[in-house]
Amino acid sequence: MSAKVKTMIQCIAVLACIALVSGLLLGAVNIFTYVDPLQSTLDGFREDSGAEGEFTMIVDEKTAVDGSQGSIVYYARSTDGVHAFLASAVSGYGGEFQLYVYIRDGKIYKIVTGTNGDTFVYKLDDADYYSNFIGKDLSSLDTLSVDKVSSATHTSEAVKNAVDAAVKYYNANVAGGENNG
Amino acid sequence: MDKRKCKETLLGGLIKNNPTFVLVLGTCPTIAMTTSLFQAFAMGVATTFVLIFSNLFVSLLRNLIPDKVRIPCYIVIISTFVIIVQMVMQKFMPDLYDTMKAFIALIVVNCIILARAESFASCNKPLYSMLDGVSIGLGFTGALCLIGIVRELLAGGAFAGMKIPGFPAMDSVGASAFGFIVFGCMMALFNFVLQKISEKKEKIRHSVLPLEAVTGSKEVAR
Repeated sequence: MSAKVKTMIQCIAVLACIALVSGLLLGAVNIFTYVDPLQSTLDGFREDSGAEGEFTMIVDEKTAVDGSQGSIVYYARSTDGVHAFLASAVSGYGGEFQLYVYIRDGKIYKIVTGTNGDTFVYKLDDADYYSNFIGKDLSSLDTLSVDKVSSATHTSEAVKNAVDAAVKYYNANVAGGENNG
Repeated sequence: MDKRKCKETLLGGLIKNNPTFVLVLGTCPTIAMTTSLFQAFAMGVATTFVLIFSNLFVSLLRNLIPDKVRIPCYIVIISTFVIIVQMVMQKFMPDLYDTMKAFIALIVVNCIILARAESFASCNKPLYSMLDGVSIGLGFTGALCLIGIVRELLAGGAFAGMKIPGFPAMDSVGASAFGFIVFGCMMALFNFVLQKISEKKEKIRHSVLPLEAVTGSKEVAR
């Protein structure tokens, strides 16, 4: 066996051994840290919404909504009539902006800010921005006509688009009878 | 164990070889993750963890890794620890992980970590390599936090997420271009202070040592 082949085999063996040990180490860590995304989302819905019934996941992959710039990431419905959405929209500053929208009896009753990279989200809280959507009748709510918050325009735009996606999805697929969903 | 070498290694990365302000390495996460103090700190801690353990393992395996495949081996070792950081963050800090995930993954190709593996850990004992990881990691974390404090204060009028009443916020400072300007200003300030301290030390050395030691003359300095 020539020296060149020997060196090559040695290189491959070392690299393979390191990769194997890495894989074993990661497998061990994974046992302790595995997170089921669906289950963690359902848990989040249950905690945030205050619903007492069990949630059933209806949409579990990112779905574009017709006529909206936002999209639905998850949609679940509880046995006591709460519709929980994880909606997302693109923000000009920090990339994807996610928002949890909770609907009961045709009205949004809670909005919770989800994952986002925007620095100015607190300005929306200062301006009580979510009150523009909460408690309004969804069949007549025009989310896009709500004014933006000064100095957080990109963030407000992302929120509007995310709420708009949830409202449009609800009006098109859920409202008018539970069979519609 | 050489105490002097330990001290030099430990202090080197903090000031003299600070990866951000002196070596100007890892500029990408420096600009991207310093929009707030909390993110900057989290990025620094994650990088420090990866630095310490990758340095340790590269040093332990330095005599076994063939020269020709050293870089792929370093990348496999570094990426293992980056994935561990990702898994732990995803489990215990999901919100923070969602905000930072793109940049956590990019730690694999962070030039600070590769540079330390290549230039230090591959030719030093495991203990010194770990100390170097701690030192460089703390230097990086400190620098990110300083920039994070300034940018968060200027951009959002806030400190560590708490808004300071009456402090004028300049939104555009949050953008990357101003991040570079803040980074540049702080680098200049850091190096200016470092130079002044070095000059002062030099002056003291000259005034204490006999002039003969410095110039070769037999006169004694005041």
